[in-house]
Amino acid sequence: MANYSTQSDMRVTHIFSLFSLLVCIQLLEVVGQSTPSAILSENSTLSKISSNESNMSTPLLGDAENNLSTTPTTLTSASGSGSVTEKVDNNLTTVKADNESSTTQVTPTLNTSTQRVITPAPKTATTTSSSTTIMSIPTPTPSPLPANTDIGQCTCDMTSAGCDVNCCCDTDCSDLDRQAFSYCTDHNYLTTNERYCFREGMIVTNNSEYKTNLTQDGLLCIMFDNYDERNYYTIPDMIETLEEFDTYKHLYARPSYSFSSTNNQPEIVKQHYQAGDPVYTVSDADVVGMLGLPAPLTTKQCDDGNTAPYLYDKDYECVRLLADVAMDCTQEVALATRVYYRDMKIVPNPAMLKRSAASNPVPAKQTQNVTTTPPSTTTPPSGESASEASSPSNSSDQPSTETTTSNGSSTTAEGASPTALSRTTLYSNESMVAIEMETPVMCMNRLGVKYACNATEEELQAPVYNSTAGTCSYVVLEVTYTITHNGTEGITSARVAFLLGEITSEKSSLLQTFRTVYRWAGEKEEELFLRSGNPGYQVDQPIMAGKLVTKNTSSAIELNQDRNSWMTLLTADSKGLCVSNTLQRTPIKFGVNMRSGCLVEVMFTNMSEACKLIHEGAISALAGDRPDRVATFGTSLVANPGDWVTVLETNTPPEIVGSATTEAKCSGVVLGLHIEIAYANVGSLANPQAKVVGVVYRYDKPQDIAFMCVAPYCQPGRLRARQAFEVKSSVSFVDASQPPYRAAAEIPIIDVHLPGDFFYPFLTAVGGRPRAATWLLTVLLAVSLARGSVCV
Amino acid sequence: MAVIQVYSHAIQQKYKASVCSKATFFQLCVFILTVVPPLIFAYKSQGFWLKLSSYVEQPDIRFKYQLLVILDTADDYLAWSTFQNFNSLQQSHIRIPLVKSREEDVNRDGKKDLLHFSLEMPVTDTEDIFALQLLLFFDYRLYKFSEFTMESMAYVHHSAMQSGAEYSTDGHLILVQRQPLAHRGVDSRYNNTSIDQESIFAEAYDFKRIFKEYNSRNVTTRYDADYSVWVRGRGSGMPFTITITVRYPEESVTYTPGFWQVMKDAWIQYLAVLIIFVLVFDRIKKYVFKNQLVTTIVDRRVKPHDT
Repeated sequence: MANYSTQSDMRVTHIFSLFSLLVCIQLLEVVGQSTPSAILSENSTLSKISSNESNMSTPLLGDAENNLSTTPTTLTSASGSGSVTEKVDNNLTTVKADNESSTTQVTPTLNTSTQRVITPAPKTATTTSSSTTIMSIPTPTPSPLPANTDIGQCTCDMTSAGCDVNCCCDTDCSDLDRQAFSYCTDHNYLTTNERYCFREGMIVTNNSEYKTNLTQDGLLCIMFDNYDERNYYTIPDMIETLEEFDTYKHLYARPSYSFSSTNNQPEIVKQHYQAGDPVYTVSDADVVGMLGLPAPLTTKQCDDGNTAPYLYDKDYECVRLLADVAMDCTQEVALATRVYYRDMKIVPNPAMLKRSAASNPVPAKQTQNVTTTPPSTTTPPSGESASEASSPSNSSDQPSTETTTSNGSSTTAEGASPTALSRTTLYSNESMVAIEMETPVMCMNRLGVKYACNATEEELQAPVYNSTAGTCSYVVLEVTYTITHNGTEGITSARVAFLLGEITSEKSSLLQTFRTVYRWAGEKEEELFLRSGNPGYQVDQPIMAGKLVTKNTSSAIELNQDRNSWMTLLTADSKGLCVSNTLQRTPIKFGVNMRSGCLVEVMFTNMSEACKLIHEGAISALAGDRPDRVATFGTSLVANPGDWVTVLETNTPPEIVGSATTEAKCSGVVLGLHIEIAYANVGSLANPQAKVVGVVYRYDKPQDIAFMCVAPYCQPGRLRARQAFEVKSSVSFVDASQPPYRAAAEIPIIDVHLPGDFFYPFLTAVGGRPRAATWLLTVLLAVSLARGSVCV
Repeated sequence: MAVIQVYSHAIQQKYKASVCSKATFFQLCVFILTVVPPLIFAYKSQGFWLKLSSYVEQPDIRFKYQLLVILDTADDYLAWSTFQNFNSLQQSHIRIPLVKSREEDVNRDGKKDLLHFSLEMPVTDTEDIFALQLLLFFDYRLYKFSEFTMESMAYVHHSAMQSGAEYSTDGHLILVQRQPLAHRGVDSRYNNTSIDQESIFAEAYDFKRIFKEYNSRNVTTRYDADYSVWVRGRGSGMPFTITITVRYPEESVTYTPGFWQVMKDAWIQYLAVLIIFVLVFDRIKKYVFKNQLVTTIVDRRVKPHDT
């Protein structure tokens, strides 16, 4: 066995004379250098060998000879050649034993020689930076790798001193072992280049039992490759310094998992708040936090980690899941008002935090998002993440919240910092803005009616559980922070308004609303008016509608204070039934087509007497508090009724339903209302402004409603069966924009004409006789034609 | 004195032979060899006749304001549709939602680009929603080649392990074509409703039947609701909300080209090959006749080459 070839010149002997087409890609000069040629000639009897394998052994040896002067060269080469001869025997026996073997090589690896070469040799006196420190002890040098060599000759040999199954090149396997193999896994790696005629490094001779697989079937393929370097990786240098590593990383690294700084708190560098910044707070324990505004995240449940951005009015609705009302009533902190405003103050200006941080560096580092989560001693059993952000110091502080603040701060001061004295100054700083609770606190009963709470101060701070009734009173339903600010000067005052309610034991979830409202200092709340557009309506803004009121000679529009009550559409209650309660109505928003309805349930027996009620109920449900004027623009003034369009009506139902009806049938009932709003874009094409040009309330024609006599409902025993009739209502917007009239100027008539006498001799005929010139022209034409035909 | 060429013209040489002669036969053969092989070559190298082509057009899609929704609670269901007869059939399961929709023309080119759709179904606190099925109906039109009109459908469905508060999805209404359209004419084969609104029979609203009928069409639309979100944790008193954004993307429509487009395309291919054959055989003919390889009468008169 053994065709030894050098690393740069790969010789592939071949017998297929059919392959006369050789493509020698000569990118480099052929380095014709041969290693032990004597061995080559000696062992030339062998049928085939992968020259990869020979590649491996020789250069290793060569390199060993060249580089490792300290290594005993003779020993290495001797063992190497020894293994080579062994290989020959192995191979020959394998050839005889296993004719079916189709793999390319059955060569044993060079375990012995490889290991010897790779063992770190004592480094010679090449100077490195470390060599100065360790002069006496030779620093271990990495075993050198031969260039342009396939070093993984037997990658399937994973077990040292043990035979790997199906690994034919494993020297630990005996020939008998190999007979038990089903196939050989050696050399299952890919070829480096598809254009090679054969797998690289294979020597094929005539009487080989190995199969030769054509790797590609094009017209041309590569037999010799003179530029071998391109098939091998370059050998990288070892990285010894961090800078080197970073250079490598910068050059080669692809995006991977990275860790952003764990401190997600933005560094307080600003002199004043800007829109979108978090609003900083400081607790009575002098811990800096941010004003929180619970919001739904991946579910509808309240996520307490959310912060309220400065100057952006936010409105979140989220759910608190309560496992046990009796326990959660007193222990779930999110239900109590105190956690939303007590024991914390708003930092009016981030610059103040910087100042305090400069004077005492400890608290600034302890910045925590504590205010968002009320410090809780108990985690709700539902597994809310409420307590995640609470710090140990705060939970220990919790029982003392009812006591004075100085007590609370002193308890935490013990373990936290020796600079407790200076830290108390931040909370007690006069310029810190305390959050005032608005009075009277509003309560809402179970029917949805709001009233001023009749409760003691203590009841307002935390919910009270009534064990006999099984109710939990004074639970926070709504929290509204109203923050007054003065631009760059920061926050001047802060208020919080609560809406408290009552939950019963069967209610397992509680809907809470959190909102922030920002006001400029000096702004008068009663004068503020939120437009629906300026001037044209904007999509998803409520349609401005009111009623015309005439006083003496002047008339004006009466507009509801609540913009969501201007123009409304009925909605159903949770069971789908009609409610005439105005709270249940949905505001009509500009540009949004809507369809809604509810059910009126009637029973077969009371149908006739219920007729009137049905009718009245339907009318009130449909129209609600019907406006009669609609603003054309979002900026239309109430004092100028000319800017408002009159609401038109068709099929207006009579107030009272007509005559008595027959049994099981109601006649003349109106069950539908379709509101149609026509608008048109006006102004520039690039900046269209929507203007409402007309509104129609189109009622359905009065119809008879009757029980549909499908079998079950007509059975005598089921006369009390209910049947539901749909009262429906819809809103549609009609874009009546007049497309721009494109008036193009007429195509100009180009008045180009020759002078009147330009063809004078040809055009003037006297007395119907052609003149001489005309004759001349005719003759000329005839002659030229005749000539042409002759030529052809 | 220098001489320059001031003018040149070709000289036409005529070779004459009788009809039944070798020369005539040779000329005929050469003519056939010039004309026919390019045709065979152009045909055999594939793509000679243009049978399929495509164009890009943004369809004119309008939401028809027709829908059908079914929500599954733990052991019951709620249903509603804009089809009155379906609602009558449902009776006790009917629950009327608040439906909002808005079609937006983002680039103001006169064609709607997306639909914002939301549906709020009032549900009691004990009714937990686990699954939903929703059918939306659209009017789909193409103008560029054939005037194609159809009623298409978007089917949104989701089912979850946990009861939800909200389902939200954002996707495209994609044209599914199993047959090329014609290159001209009016095509309203599929402009029929998938649901027979007039029917008072339950089977008219059977989803299996509706889908079977719809899928048997060669042109349909599909709504890809790949990016959907199921939000849990409905609070008491809150409705179940479905929010859907349907985008109307520009579509690549395949069509069968018309006669003249096919001819034009084939002619270009044929001509390109023919030119080479003409040039080659011209040389051959010149050689054959000049050297009298076939006998011809050479007209000795030399005349200027007139055309």
